[in-house]
This record gives sequence, structure tokens and C-alpha cells, in this order.
Amino acid sequence: MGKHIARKYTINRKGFISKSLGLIAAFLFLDHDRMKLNAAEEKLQPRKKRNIKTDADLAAATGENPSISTRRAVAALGGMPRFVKRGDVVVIKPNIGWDRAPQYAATTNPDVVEALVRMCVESGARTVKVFDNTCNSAAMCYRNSGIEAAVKRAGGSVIKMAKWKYIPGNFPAGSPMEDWPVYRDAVECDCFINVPVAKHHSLTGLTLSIKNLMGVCGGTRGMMHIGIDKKLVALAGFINPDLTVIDAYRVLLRHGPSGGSMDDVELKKTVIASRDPVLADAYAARLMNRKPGEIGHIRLGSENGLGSMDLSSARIKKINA
Amino acid sequence: MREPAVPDSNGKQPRAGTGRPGLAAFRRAAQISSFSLLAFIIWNTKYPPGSFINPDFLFKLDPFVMLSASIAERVLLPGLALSAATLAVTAMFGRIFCGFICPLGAIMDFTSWIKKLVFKRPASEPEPSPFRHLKYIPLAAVMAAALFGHQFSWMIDPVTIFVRSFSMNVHPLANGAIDRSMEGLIKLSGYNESIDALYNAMRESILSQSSPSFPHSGTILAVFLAVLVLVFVKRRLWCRYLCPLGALLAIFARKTPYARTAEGCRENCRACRNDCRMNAIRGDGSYLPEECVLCFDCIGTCPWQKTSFGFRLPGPRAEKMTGGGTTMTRNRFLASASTLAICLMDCRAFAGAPEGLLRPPSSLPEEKFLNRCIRCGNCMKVCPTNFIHPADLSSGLSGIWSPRLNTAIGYCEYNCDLCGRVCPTGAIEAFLPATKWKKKIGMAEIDKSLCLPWAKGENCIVCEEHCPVPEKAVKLNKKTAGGVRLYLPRIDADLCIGCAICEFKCPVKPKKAVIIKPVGSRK
Repeated sequence: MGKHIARKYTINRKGFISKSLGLIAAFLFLDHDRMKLNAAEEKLQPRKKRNIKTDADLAAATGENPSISTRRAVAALGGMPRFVKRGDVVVIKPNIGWDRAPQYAATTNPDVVEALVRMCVESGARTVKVFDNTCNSAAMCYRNSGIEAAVKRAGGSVIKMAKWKYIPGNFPAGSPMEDWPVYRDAVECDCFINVPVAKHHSLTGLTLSIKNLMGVCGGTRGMMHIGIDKKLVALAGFINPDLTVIDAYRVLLRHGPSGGSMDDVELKKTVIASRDPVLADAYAARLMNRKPGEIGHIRLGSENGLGSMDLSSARIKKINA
Repeated sequence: MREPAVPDSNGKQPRAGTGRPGLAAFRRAAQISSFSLLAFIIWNTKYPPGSFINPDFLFKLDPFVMLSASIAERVLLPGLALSAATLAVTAMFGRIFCGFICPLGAIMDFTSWIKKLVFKRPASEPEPSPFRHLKYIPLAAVMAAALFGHQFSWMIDPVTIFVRSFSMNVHPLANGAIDRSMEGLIKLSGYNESIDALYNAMRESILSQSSPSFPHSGTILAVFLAVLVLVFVKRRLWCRYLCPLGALLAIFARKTPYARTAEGCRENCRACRNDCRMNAIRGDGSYLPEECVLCFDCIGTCPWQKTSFGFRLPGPRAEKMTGGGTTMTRNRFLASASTLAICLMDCRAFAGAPEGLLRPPSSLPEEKFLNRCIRCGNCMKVCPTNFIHPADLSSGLSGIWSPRLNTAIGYCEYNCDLCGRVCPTGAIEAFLPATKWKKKIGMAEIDKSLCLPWAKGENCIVCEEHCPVPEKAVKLNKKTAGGVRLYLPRIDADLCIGCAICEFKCPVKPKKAVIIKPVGSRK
């Protein structure tokens, strides 16, 4: 009797192999659609902007060293500890969109990104995630833009975005961005720092901080281009970046957004920091000799209460770094 | 059935498998490690350059592929040096490549080990079968076709069969399975931070960042499985009777200084003959060195510990031990080999060269390209955008599995030179990105009846912003209509290099509004 039971519950080699093969097969043909369905029920809620008081509405630091300029500009607003608290999960969103070397100004200056990551780490951030939905292959963009190495040096974590982590955002009904997929990590964070590079764009005129937020979206990039200004403003209101730092050390004046020729690059040696994305964009637009009101999404952002493009009434600190 | 072993003259019963398993264990360890290493190298063949070991060496070690490509193309391929080394080692030790290195051989051995575990049937082999001569027919046919300028080794080379299937079938499946299970795990754990960090680290190392897929790779899997299934008929049946690389190595392994000796065999013992995976041993204990893959199992199998391997001088003893004997007549061999060679060449003549396919950058002109390419799939594996795919039968029998560009799935990265680096035969010439920028893969063409600004008056410019050429090969015509400025794209034929990023990113579906067409200069 005892022998019989023991025989029933022991597994032999043949049984082991056939059972494990069966398990593997079952696993491979797992009902993936059901998993997707669960994900579809989940919707991302809009990010809440932290209520932070700054010493100035905008700070612009000009100097030879982009890293020092970045530190000075953020310090002029009151310093990074005002934005990043101990134990925070911070997202830094540079422009890593293109497989170009840093000098072509198609991607954010790695020194600026490195300085920001360091400041966040110094302020006690638990994790500093850096990512962008790239146009060229992510591995090539992250590497050749110099940003991957810079972030690793500074102690941040570089994240190559996974397709399944884009989740439909709970935009207001009737918004042009309704149910547009947004990267989960971009919303599930304590502090969001937007770090674009200032450059030309053939559709929106310029690509600055508001346009840079496209890099947290999934979906078809091309479809975003239809009625782009309204979509960008809706997206900026969804992500609500706590801090905007615009890299205008090198700016791309023509053949944007991807550039590729040094003839189109000009040195402005400036880093702009502000809590207000519209104000930062307006300042950068004027730096590039464009009227802020001419740029569709800046004007629309100002009209919709995303921020203010009125440079004359803003408290602006200019610093020689 | 296996005959019972005969007792010793002292009446002592022999025990099978009591011999020292040292060399066989060494062989098994070497086989497992070389297989794992190879699988790792192929798995890891991906961007960035310098982070992987170039898998082209594997094909350069393969004299069958290198010789036929060199002869067909009348060039001295750089891989010939490594192939010569393989042949030299074979002439010294025998078919060590088959027993130690060949990944297809390793996976066949593994399959037959599983088979043995499941079915537990004692192995039994007859006297060396005359079928072993069959494998010289494909070898001779491929070499004859090569003499006439046609390379067909890609059809039946074992290394290629394995690597192609590993890159096209095994890796995408395994990579996707790991990726999916991590996705499920992270979701189940409610986006646990440490699991998420682990997943991120995996994507930085072993996982592909975007899961590759090869929709037209079914025939590749079918060939690989067909070879594996043969194991269920006889162990290493492919290697014994069909493998042309094995045949080529066998020619060099007929008289090796390093050889097997079995002296003082008991009458009717046949333990080693029954256990030989290559069917290389005779009942009297002598063997055919050209059939032996040095698995060393016979040392352990011998109940009398009479089998050993070592260097020995050629002489009458060697003759006695190794013996010869061919049942295939010269006439039969020549007739079948030449028939097969003519069939092979005919299939090219009838099917003709495939037309209208986009080829990887820096590929040789079409006719030379098809001849030089061994369909190993290295370029397809390494391509960071999954742009390079095996061509299916629609491009003709002669073009099957050759690399073609699939603009629905990927595009050519402007700064990438990986496919040129991993090509073992130079069908895709090694190039620098700067030289690629001057060569046209194809040419973009805008369909104004589909293009959003042209057809619907809606702004888009996706093709223009993605165009990697610094001066932009997509130019924008500006038109102001109803107070709205409209940007209408057109292609600058001098600047366009046909990288296809515009087609890939074009938001118009399902038929794209910009399409890459092959250019005449590739012909």
C-alpha cells in the first residue's frame, strides 16, 4: 500500500522531462490577449505639479561651461532641494531623439543633463530616471548623444523605454489627446524635470520644452503632427513638469529637428531654468530671434493658462556664469 | 539486438561502460562549452559594435562554405586561412570539428541524449553502412557548381543551417518569451521597483530592446527541424550520410596520426560497434577514421578496456586497424553528383535572379551578391532596426533566405555599419558610415494621392524631420492656402540615399505615402 502511494507521487526522469516541456509549451502559448485587456482597463491619471515657491520666475545663465551655467540657473531659482526632496523618484527628460553627436545640437547637451542628475542625487533623490522616446534606435541615440555615459557618471539610471509601458492617459473628454498612450514612468514620479535643447523645427517653428514632452508619448508620432499645437498643450497640462531647464548652449537654427551639419549650429552659451514651461519657451524663442507669439504652441499654452509668455512682467534673473 | 558480451578466458564477466570515461567527459565538456559560447556569441550579436564577438569567424572556420564561395567567385576570401587551419587540424586529429565544435552536431547529440532518456532503447549499430558514401554526392555537386561559378553551399552547410535558425527562430522566440514573462511579472507585482530595475538591467544586457521578428522564417525552421528529426532514425544520421562539410573533412581525415586502437578484442564482442554514433566501427574492432568524430565514447564502452586513442606511426598495423573498402562505384558517384550539380544550377537558370529587392547597404551587384552570400543571417541578427529579413520563395529559389530589406518593419540607421562588419564572405562589403552615405540603397518616391499635405491639405512633415541627410533629401515646398501655411514634401533625387526611414515613419496606413524603390545602379 505504502509502496503504491510512493510510486504515485514520485516523478521519474521521463515524467519530469515531459511535464517540464508541457509547462514550457503552456507558458509560450499563454493567453497574452487577456493580459493586454487588463492593461487596457488601467488609465494614467494626470501628474500634479508641486507647489514650489521660487526666487525668480526665470533664470538664464550664460557662460563657457554648460555644467556651471546649469547649476547657477537652478540656484537662482532657489536651488534643487526646493524641487527634489529626500527619497524622491525623479524623472529627467532630455531630448535624445536623434542619433547625432552632441555638437550638432540635435540632442540635449550631456553636460547639462549630467549636472542636473548630480544635483538631484545631491538633493537626496532615491532614483533619477532619464529617458526619451527616440526617433532613431534608442541604443544608438542614447550612446551617440553622450547622454547615456553622462547619466551613468552622475549616478542616474538610463531607461530604454519598453513598448508595453505606454498606457492610455486619462485626458479630459474631448481633448485632442484623449486616450493617447503615455509612458507610465513619466507620470509615476515625484518630480519631473524637462530638459530640452533649443532648436529649429520645420512644423512648429521651434522645438523647446513643450514640444520636448512628445518624447514621453507612444502612439504614432506622425498622427501627433496633425493639429500639433493643441495636442502639445494638452500633453504639457497632463505631465505638468515641475522644472524646465532649456539647453541653449548650442542651438540648431536650420534643418531641425535632426540637423547634422555644423553650419546650422550657433553658440548661445545659455541655460534657462523656470517653473513655467511657457515662460521658459518664450524666453528661448526670443533668444533665437523669434517672437514667442509666432510659435503656435507657446501662444496657445499662454492662452490656456499653462503658463505665461509675457516676458516683460516676469521676474527674470540674468547671470554670467 | 545487441549480442551478449562473451566472457574473458578466465571466465570473468565483462561489464560494459567500466572503461575510463576521461576523454569522453572532456569531449562532452568541450562540446557543451563551445555550443554555449557560440549560442552566446550569436545571441549577443547586436549594437553597439565592440560589445560582441564577431560571429563571422564561425563561417570562416567552415572550409566547405569558404571553398565553394571562393571557387564560385574566383576570389581568395580572407576566411580561407581559418578554413585551412580547420583542414590542417582535421588531417592531424580527424573530424574533431564535427565532434567538438559543430553546433548542429552538438544539438543533435543533445536530442539523441533526450531520446535515449525517454525511450531507453539500447543502441545497436550494424557494420559501417555503405550509405556513408552518399555525403560525397552533395559535396561534389556543390563544388562542381562552384567551378561553373555558382555557390550553393548555403543550402546544406550544417553551420549555416544552425546559425540561421538560431538567429531567425530561436532567438526571437526566446527573447520574446523572457520579455513577456518579465512584463507579466512586473504587472503582477504592481510595478515593483526592484523587479523593474532588474528588467531594465536585462534590457541593457541580454534582452533586445525591441523584440526582433522575422515573419518569413518558417522555411528556415523547417529545414533545421528536418535535420534534427533525422536523429530519431539514427544518431547523427545527417553527419554520417548527408553532411557535405563532414564529407570534406572526411577526405582529410583518412590517415590521421592521432587514431583509435582496439587491440585484443574478444570475438563477437561488438560493444563499441553498437555504441558508435557515427557507425564508424566494425565488428572486429577496427574503424574508419574518416567517419570518426572523436566522441571517445568507445573508450568507456569497451568492457575490456582495450580501446585507446593516441598518436601512432603509419604502417601495416595502421592499415589493418583502419581498413578501407568502398561499395560505391565511380560511375554511380559521378552520375549522381553531376546530376545534382546540374539540378542546382538549373534552379538558378529557371528562377532567374530575383528582381526589385532592396539589398543591405554596400552589397555587391545582384548577381555577385547572390553568389557570395551564404544566407547565414548574421546581418539580419545584428541589424538594430530589424530591417534585414530573409527573402521568401517569392524571390525565386535562388534568392531564398538572402537578405532583403523590409521597409514595413525597419529602416537603415544612418550611422550604422554593423551588417558590413559581420558578413563572413564580403557579400556585404565592410564599410564606414561615411561611405554608406554616398551609396544609394534605393530611392524614395512620394505618392501625392496619399501624402497628407498633397492629398488632404494637412501638415505632416514626418518624412522631412526624420531624413538623416544633413541637407535634407526631403525638401518642403511652402504654400499658403486659406491663411494656413502648408508644407508639401518632395524628394531630392541627388541627396536621397534610400535609407527608408521616411517610409517607415510615414503615418499614412496601410499603404505608405512615400515608398523606397530599388535603383538601377545595383543591377
